[in-house]
Amino acid sequence: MSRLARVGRIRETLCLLSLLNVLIVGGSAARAAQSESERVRTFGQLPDWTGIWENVEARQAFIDEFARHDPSSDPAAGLQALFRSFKLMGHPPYTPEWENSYRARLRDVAALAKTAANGKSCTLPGFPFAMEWASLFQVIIVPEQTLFVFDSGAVRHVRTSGQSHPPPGDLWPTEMGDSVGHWEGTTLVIDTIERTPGPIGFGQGPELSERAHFTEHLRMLDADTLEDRMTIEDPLRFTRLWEVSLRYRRVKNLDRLIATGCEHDRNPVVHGHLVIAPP
Amino acid sequence: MRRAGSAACRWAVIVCEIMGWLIASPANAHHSAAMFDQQKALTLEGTVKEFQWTNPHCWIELLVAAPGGTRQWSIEMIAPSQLYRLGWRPGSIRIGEQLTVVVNPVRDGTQGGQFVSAISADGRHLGYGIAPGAKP
Repeated sequence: MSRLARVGRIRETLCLLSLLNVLIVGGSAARAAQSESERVRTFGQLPDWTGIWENVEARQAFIDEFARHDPSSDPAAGLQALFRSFKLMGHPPYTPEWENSYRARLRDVAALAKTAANGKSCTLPGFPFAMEWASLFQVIIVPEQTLFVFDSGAVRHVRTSGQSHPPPGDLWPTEMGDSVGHWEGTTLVIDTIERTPGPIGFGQGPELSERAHFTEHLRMLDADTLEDRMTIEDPLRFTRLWEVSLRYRRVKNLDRLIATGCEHDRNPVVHGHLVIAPP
Repeated sequence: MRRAGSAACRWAVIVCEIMGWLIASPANAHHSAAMFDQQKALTLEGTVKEFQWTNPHCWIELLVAAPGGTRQWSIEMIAPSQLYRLGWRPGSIRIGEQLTVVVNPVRDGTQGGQFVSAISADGRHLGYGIAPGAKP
């Protein structure tokens, strides 16, 4: 082959490689653009849960129960009413063994008195009570995840990118548990496992085991009402599923989520009593 | 009968104290209200030394005249986020301002209490149910 012919072949090869490169790069860019527009389209189909939310139902139930109740006539009923006010502090379908333990706890006047006198908490209760406690929160929705951002600064993450829970060796109990979810139209379905075992609430609510499994369906009931239908399965504590429905209202008189905290706590417990510390 | 009555009374106190904690908690999310004697209302007249706009509670530090000088009272309020929602602001109470404050005093007898309401020297009503300066 003459030198001229070799140069011509080289030029031809380079030209073909350049063309191939253009096709490959162009294809990737097109795919990226398509993926981005698909993400934007998915985003556009997600519901609008912006604003600040508050569980007003629990608070109202609490006030109503006690407004009607005369504790001096039947104190035990008063205590039951207290637990009824928060749905997740209620009476779940316990196994006989745990039912006995529950009743014993209600009779433990000394422990309850101690809680009443010195009860103190600087943190948001973990899941599931975080979803009922009258704390304010925001819901941040993107295609890959939904975040519940509470005014305490705590955040509940729900992954919605099609992932399942990590395998057992990669997972351990946490206060919020591990949550994955998916959208069924405008309803967010959440599956939560690996919540730290123990009582719901501030040590006063029902006991849940390490096998507790939660399924939630969140959806808007009207323009300003969000509902969370929660089902709790606990084969070590309950005889059947426990269903709880929580409702939140969009807060109107607040322009932003304001942080709560305990950075300037002036109420230490000294010799078993809450006191006021000097400024 | 007397013993049963006493037990019922004890239950009632416990239930009310837990109620107090839980009712207060959404507002102050912090501690039991059992440390305050909610059956007692004490009126304090004094000068504001400091208005602490802090988590988990806001505080009014009030200098109250007493035999031989003044005594400083620490008056506990709800959280800033809750006060803000009710119309309060960090500048709602000023240092040096004369205030008449109603409190539920602490049970241990120290100079502290839970804020109930207040009136400033210029007649502004300050409470949880109304924004500062609003007419009650």
